Amino acid sequence: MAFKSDMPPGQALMLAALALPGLGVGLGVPDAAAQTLPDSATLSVDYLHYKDEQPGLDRVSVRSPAVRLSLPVAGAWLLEAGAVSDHVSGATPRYHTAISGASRMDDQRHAADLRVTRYLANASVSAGAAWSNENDYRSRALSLGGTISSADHNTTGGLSLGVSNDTISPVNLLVTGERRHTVELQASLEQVLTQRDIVKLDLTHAKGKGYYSDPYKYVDKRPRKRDVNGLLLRWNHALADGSAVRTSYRYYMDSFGIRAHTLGAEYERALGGGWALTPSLRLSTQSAADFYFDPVYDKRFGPPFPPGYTFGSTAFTSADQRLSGFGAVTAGLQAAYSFGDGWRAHVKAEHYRQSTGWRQFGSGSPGLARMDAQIWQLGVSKQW
Amino acid sequence: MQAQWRTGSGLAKWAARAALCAAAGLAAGCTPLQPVAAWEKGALAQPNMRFDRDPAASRYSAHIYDSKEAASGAGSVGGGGCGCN
Repeated sequence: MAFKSDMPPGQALMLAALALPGLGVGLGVPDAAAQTLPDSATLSVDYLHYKDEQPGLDRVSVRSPAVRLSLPVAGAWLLEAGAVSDHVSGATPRYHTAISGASRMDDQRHAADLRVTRYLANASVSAGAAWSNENDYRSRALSLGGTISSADHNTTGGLSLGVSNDTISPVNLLVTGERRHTVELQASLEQVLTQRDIVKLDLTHAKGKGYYSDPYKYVDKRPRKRDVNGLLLRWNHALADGSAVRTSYRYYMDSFGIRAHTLGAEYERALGGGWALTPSLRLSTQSAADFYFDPVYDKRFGPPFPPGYTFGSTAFTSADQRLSGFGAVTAGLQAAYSFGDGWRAHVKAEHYRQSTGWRQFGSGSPGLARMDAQIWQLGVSKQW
Repeated sequence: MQAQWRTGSGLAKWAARAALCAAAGLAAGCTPLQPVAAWEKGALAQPNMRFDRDPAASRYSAHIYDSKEAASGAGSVGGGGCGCN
């Protein structure tokens, strides 16, 4: 077995030995082999940039500095914390792909999260909190979770509960102090299949109630209840040369009538000398929400009103492109360099394209312009 | 809509049952898998085999997709919401 990644020579063998029953408490291998406490701390600083556009039109640009810390404490605890600040500018459509002068925005979002995990011999318990503040949206979330592993740490089951409370107060005062409350339950199963393969299955059910309409979009009225079911299956495979293939599949469905399939694959190729290249591909397709309407408008009122629109009606309706049926492809490439002594730097570039013509199932949603986005990530981390 | 939702819910229940059966089978030792010993997990211990290889980048990507697509989540809970979606 040859290892050429950023783990120091011999450490993999030592970590494997530490994972022996009776010796692995408080130490152990990184998370892929079992739910065990990392043996080292990691601090990472990232700068993230996002920009999207439609033919002939620049839309939203986001710049986000972010910092994350993972810190083992006292041989049995893990503290994880992160903070990010998003600066968003540009314009988003008011209906379908139409952007008006009122669509311009300049917003700042600050978010942070904290998680504490207590590791036991074959189990772990964790609690977390998350905050997110914008001038028109505030979110507070709490979570509790636990895992239990088989004696050989080849099988790990987990259960997590999350609750979040959001407050929406748009600057156009369409509504004030609206609330959204969500409860999420997740069950997970992680299994070592072979010496080179590990899989993880996550099943999530979420129940939400409250304000789901978009206050900045015209004729947007959505149900005040949204239930979500999600299935995420991930499969990682280690190659003999120290490279790895990470694949995933997600199925999503919600009570708005949206169904989505998402496939992801990454190939982290160890090049030697501390370098690694990771090409990645993501394919996604979703069906439209039951109340999404195509860009065909009422003959009397014109845009943005759907055919047969009645003022004061309580019927659900939305012209939000994100609720339409479409397909999307993301292609990316990451280059990473490990300096030694725990330092690692990486740069990642991705291109995202969303097109209604690429939807793989469902009907409708013609007539929307495609959307393209460029995503850049630049980061450096230190492990000690 | 209700009919479709019931169909989808059925799939979720099927998946949940499948996961439960797999877990029960593994717990009962009925798995056809050959157990991997601790000293055979060197390849699995590599950082590039983590499900969350780069937590900051993963969160950022998830945030972007949450804001541009209707489907979101499934990998974790308790992350909270944002005005972007």
